[in-house]
Amino acid sequence: MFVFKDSGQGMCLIPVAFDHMLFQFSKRAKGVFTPVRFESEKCLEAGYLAGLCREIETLDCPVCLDMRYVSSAEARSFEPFARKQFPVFFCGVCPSLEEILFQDMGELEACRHPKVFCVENPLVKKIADCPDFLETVEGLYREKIRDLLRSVTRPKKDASGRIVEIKLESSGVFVNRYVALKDLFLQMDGALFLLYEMAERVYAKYPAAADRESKTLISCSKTGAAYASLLSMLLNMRAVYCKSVGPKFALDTVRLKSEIQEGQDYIYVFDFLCMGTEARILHALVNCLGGNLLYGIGAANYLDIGAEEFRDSFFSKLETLSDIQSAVDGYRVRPIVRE
Amino acid sequence: MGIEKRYQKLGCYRKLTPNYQDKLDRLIDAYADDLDAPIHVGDSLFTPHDFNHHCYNLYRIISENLCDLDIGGDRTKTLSEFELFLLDIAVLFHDCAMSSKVKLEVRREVHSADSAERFLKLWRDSESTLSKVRREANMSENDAKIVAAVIRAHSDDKSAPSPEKTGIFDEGLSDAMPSSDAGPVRAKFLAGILRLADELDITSDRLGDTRLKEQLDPGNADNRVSARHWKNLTYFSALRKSAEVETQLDLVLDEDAIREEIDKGNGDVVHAEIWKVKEKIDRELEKIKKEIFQKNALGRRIIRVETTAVSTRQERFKQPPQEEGAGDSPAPVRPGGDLDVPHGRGGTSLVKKSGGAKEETGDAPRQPAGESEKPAEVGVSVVSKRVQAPLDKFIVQQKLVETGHFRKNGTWCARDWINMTRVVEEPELLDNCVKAFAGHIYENMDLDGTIILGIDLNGTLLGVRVAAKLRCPFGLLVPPQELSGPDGRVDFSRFQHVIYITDVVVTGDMIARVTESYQLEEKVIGTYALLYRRPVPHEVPPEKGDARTAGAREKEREQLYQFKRPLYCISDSFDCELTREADCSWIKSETGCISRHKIVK
Repeated sequence: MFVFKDSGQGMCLIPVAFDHMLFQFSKRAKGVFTPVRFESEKCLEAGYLAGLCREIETLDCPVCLDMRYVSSAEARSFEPFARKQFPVFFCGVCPSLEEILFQDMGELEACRHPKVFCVENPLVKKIADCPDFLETVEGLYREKIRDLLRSVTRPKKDASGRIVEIKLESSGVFVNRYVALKDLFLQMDGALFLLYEMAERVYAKYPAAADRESKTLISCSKTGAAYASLLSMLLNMRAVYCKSVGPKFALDTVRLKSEIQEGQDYIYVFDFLCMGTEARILHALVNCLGGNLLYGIGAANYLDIGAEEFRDSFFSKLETLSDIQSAVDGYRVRPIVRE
Repeated sequence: MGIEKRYQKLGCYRKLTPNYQDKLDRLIDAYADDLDAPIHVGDSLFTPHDFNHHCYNLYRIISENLCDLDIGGDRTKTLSEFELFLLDIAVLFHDCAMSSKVKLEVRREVHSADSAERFLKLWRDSESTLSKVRREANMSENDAKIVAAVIRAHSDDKSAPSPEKTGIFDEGLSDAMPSSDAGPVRAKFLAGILRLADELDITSDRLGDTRLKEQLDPGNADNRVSARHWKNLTYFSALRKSAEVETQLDLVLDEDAIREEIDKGNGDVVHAEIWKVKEKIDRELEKIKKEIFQKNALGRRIIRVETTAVSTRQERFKQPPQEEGAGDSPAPVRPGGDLDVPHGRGGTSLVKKSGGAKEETGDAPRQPAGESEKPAEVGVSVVSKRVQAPLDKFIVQQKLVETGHFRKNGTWCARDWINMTRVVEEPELLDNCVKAFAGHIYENMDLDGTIILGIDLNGTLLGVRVAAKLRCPFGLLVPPQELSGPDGRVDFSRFQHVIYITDVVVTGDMIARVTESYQLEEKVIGTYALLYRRPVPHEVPPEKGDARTAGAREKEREQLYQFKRPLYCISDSFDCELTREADCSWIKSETGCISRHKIVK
């Protein structure tokens, strides 16, 4: 069960669509490796909800089940929740799911916010009716992402254990911490959560499957390629990888011609955008080969891509899950001064 | 207990047109509840013959394992829609006499005949839902005979004077029976499918959750006879198509349930029970194959059902019980090929020695070049023949083998290479390779404390997907020459075991270097590569004045395959020609080849 806690409200949040996706990955236990995709209209399996019910029993606080991207569930699969009388509430409930919930659980109370329902329980109702409840839910997601980023950001120490600055040659800067997003794969569920969030962003931008399928994910670095590979699996999109793109490498346009097709639309996938050097080079490269770099999605950024100065540039088309400064206190960048 | 609608997601329902779907829904709504009643006869509490478990399982087994449900295609290769509809009806009614709600006296030995009789009775009862549905569908009496014959054939009549003439040998059942549809219906074939599906519904999926505890209790006086049947269901967790052999179904053993019994000291009893189940299925399959499937192109696909262990701890359960001393000891010798625990650690992965059970698995294990005369040190196994063929085809059709020159290391140059980036950018092929690797790792490796490491870009693209499917930690291995970057060396010391994933292995020197650099020698339990390209040295007669002795050259050749660990690949079809750098005439200076680890066309 993928769960995060809000100490302020004293509740737990379970992103059900994502958690169900993890369950689908786990179905390997039956020796089945079916394709697991990001789905905008997910049907929850009874086996998943039964397991969730057992795990919720171990939590000692009200539980918010975020039902975004869930449109249905197998027959009577919510009944165990009603029997256990858990202090639960559901947010992001679409009309088709609402019908199923009422069938399985009997009367649920509608709360002051749209698409939010809860069981009859004064404590639960109080939390769900809080004016900033929806903001709290969004905040929990933001904080989870920041937690994950913090967990892979580390200073570099020299042999004597002293913290030293890290030179990012390609960006022309020193940084005081290294954002090692590749380390997130050491805790695979965390990496999958970030990827699921990225998939949601891509889906929001291109909701039509045909629209997504006509585009190709493109990445440069190895870590970016790993993220692009999983994102392409979740979104069922094609992905290509450009090796050796960066100021230290020669731009082998002959080789890249086979990767970048004239007239093709691309979505740039990256892990961390520091000063945007790689993005600038890739943008120029795709343009010169006749492709269109339409959009970009990444886990984190340092460069202020929303700044006014980038309003008309490619950076304004990029999106990340979080900026690194709001996630990591004291993250600093200093330009390399050439003597 | 209500009817679960999950059957509507299965192929044998979805392949019907809405008209037939509606009719099947009505029949299920009308009769499924009747099946859901505990059956208590004498000392037996029978395993469920209900709709939500047993019938649903049969629909699933038929949809996923036994039938190619490409309705409306070539009739020699697919079922017609009408045949499928009749089969669906037969599944619903095949055990209808095994319910105390329907019959006061349940007769296990003749339940197939009783069920067929009840079906015909309902068919002819003008007030019944079945009768209304069949009238609306313009079905004839011939159709009733077909369904009844299929139901009757799903089990032998043990009370008949000649039981051997019942079941699929019943005189009322024939290969082609007239029907209300355009052509005859292959009733005998439908009976074979139903009978086999019924036989294969022996996994824990059949267990209901509500009555389980009571039924499993051998101390329950009502259940002295059938407790064993209930227990047997817990030993099998799933039925699935084999990833190795197209015509094989695998019964997956349930690791936890069996472990629990072994811990209680019941290992030999469980072993015997599992083997009895397997033998019974084999007997049934042989009979159906001989009498029905071999006469029908449709039926030739399923030729074998094997038990499959999810980990090597249960490997022995795949073999018949030994006469004596089997105990709970490790895997016994397998007929036709030894099972050998490879380097790294004991009992975690399987490698078949050269000459192993090739005819069983389709694998073609062989030793790296230069070691054919030596005792086997490491095996190279193809993990999935099913994926190998399309991969080989893709490489050939897309002309991915490029000739030229590639300097591998300080000793050898390759004369060709394969552009594997194209392979990992091909979604379907990539998915299939990832699935084959993930399945093989899951079945053969202990994932606790294990990390999957992707070597280089293509290894990363493959490895991260495999690790995601297994929800297992993943790391990118940066080649030693790139370790000076800002991220430096990642510490993998907290992991006890390492599995490598890469695109191509020829001499294995890259893996050996990475392993040495990261000090992972003791942790590597296997390497997965899309291709193992057997190195084939191209010998040039030593030139006059060559300082190297014949012995030194021989030693070089012996060391061709650098990495002595189990290697699993999708394909080993493309050998790789190597030339000693000193002999390489491609781009040469006085000191030999001048290219530096890069492709030169």
